[in-house]
Amino acid sequence: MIDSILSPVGWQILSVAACAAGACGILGAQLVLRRKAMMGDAIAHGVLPGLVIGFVLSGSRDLLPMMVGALVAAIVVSTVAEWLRDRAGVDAGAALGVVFTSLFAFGIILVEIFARDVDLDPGCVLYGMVELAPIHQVDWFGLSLPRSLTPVLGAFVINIFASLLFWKEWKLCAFDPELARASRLPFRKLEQGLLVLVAITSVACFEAVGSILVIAMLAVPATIAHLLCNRMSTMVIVSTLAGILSAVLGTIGAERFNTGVPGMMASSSGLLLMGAILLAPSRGLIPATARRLFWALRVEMEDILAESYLLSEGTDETGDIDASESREALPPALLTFSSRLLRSSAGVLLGVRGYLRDGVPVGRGKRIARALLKKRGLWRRFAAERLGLASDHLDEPAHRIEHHLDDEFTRRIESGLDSEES
Amino acid sequence: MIRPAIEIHDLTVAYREKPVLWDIDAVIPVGSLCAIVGPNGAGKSTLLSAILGTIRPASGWLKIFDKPLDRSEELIGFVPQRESVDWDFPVEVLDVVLMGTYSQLGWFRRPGKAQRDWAMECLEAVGMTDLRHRQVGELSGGQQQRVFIARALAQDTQLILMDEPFAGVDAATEEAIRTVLEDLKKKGRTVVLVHHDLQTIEQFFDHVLLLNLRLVAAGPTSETFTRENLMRTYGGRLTLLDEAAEAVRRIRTGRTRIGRELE
Repeated sequence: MIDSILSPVGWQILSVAACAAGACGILGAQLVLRRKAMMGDAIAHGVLPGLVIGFVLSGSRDLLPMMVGALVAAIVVSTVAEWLRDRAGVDAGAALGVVFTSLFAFGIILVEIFARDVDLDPGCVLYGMVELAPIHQVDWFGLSLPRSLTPVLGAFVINIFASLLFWKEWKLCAFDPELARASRLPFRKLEQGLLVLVAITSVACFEAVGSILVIAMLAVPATIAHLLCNRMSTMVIVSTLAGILSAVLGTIGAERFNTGVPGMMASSSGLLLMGAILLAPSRGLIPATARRLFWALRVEMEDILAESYLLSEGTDETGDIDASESREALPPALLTFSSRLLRSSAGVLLGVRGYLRDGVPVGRGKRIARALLKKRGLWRRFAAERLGLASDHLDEPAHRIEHHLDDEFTRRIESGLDSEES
Repeated sequence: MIRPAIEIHDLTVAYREKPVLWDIDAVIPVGSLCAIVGPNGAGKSTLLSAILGTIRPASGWLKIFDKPLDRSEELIGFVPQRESVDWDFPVEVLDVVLMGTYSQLGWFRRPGKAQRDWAMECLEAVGMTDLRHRQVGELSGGQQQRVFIARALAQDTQLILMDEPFAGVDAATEEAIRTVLEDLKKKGRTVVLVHHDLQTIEQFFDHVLLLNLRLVAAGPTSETFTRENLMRTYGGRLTLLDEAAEAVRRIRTGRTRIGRELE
């Protein structure tokens, strides 16, 4: 499997796919930052009739006429969608949806009408033909490279340059359009320039990887990067790399399961996104759930230690709290399954760590219990003296807050109470 | 005579048929701290956008420091409403403040050490240097507002507009914004801000602009901020304007023939 990726043919397929994915990934980041991934979708679809008309009029598969046709179509998409939204009162998403699906359908009809005379067919439009990349070769400085590498590599390089060149302008336009306009930036031109680049990229990648993949590569890698990153610079880099990684995985997967590269690329980017949603360090579902669980377990363990300390000693050191005040436990039958599970696993953990022996806290367990009870007493005094809460309002919040008081805060409460007394 | 920072003449702004601002005439002098006051939907934010030049008036003109707005090179500092931006955006606090330096940098130049130091100075002014590497979404509402204020300071402009900087902020932020406003006034900068809290107007602002679709009154606080003017701003509905707008709407949508209306 790896052998075939490293073979000349495998390399050529991979390089075309990776350049296309990288070109889309870097632009996709800009679109996702503007919450305009849908616009990428619309343009990638909507350029089709322009592409076909350019192709039919010129009678050749040269890139230039197709590119011109596609740009015209892209401008039509965004202008008509804006017009529908602003003048006809159609919802922005629906306006885009209406325009690009109509144009795309029109493009498919055009392809089918002219398909008899030329080698263009709907399947190739949708899925591209990256597998055939090695068949058509061109010579570049003595190197024999696939013909379809030229446009995707070109788009990749153009997008990298544009992203670097307009870095801060695009950042401002995306984050705060009003300030961008107030700073006398040509806001509309910058935003339209971005859409023109999306159109150019769509056309360049069309032949290689097809429209479905262009859409996937514009939206998915950037969404992955948005989940993982806290800065725009890292997000753009991660988005590009995620695109390229999907290309690598897609090519290997296609080889392995003997299917098409574009479909495999889109699927693997979907899997990567799933992974990011589950595992992203700060926003991922699994880390967030784990943090919550660990916290609940810690609270439960501290409560058990404090309760058993009170039961064994009869009172805490300061004498503020005694065993009669320890929390009245619900009868086990009334506890929910999950809280019973939490309680018993906290008990087991305490036993394993050696904090609790025969229901009596020992060693570190004892220290934890004492510290907790001290905080509980402090908070109750603070709430009673400073916040003026009635005595029957003290227990419940103290039980909750005691786990959240860090040393710094405890000290501040302590010194606050002391200054009151002196 | 006092030099005007902003001169507004016969300004009307309309979204489609619906007028949002009608027939505004006002002068805001250089170095003043001016509050725009009025009920919800009075067009306060729209007036700020018109001064910024981000919306085009239907009629009338605006001058900034004696120059017509469209020919003015003068940059205007701006603090938008907090809800107007996407706080999930992957930027850190210092990056946002650096955005204030972009327009002076010009095209293709990236902010360097000088800009970074300057941005840190502006963050210092609002007491946020410790949080400079936080992602903006992790800040509290008041802290987000202070980042915006720091960005406006980083723009280092003679004229600064703020859209409700005091809305929903904590006590520490309120204090920080007040200090910043006092400093700006000492430096002779002109600050115009939309403000909701009528209690604090007389304490902080030397100019007010009372707005409710039309200009009710504008001028020094001591003369303008009167009970009578406030009643006119908040009390009576501008029924005539409402009816005119309604009539235009009905004619446009073709619900009524004009003839029947006249019968």
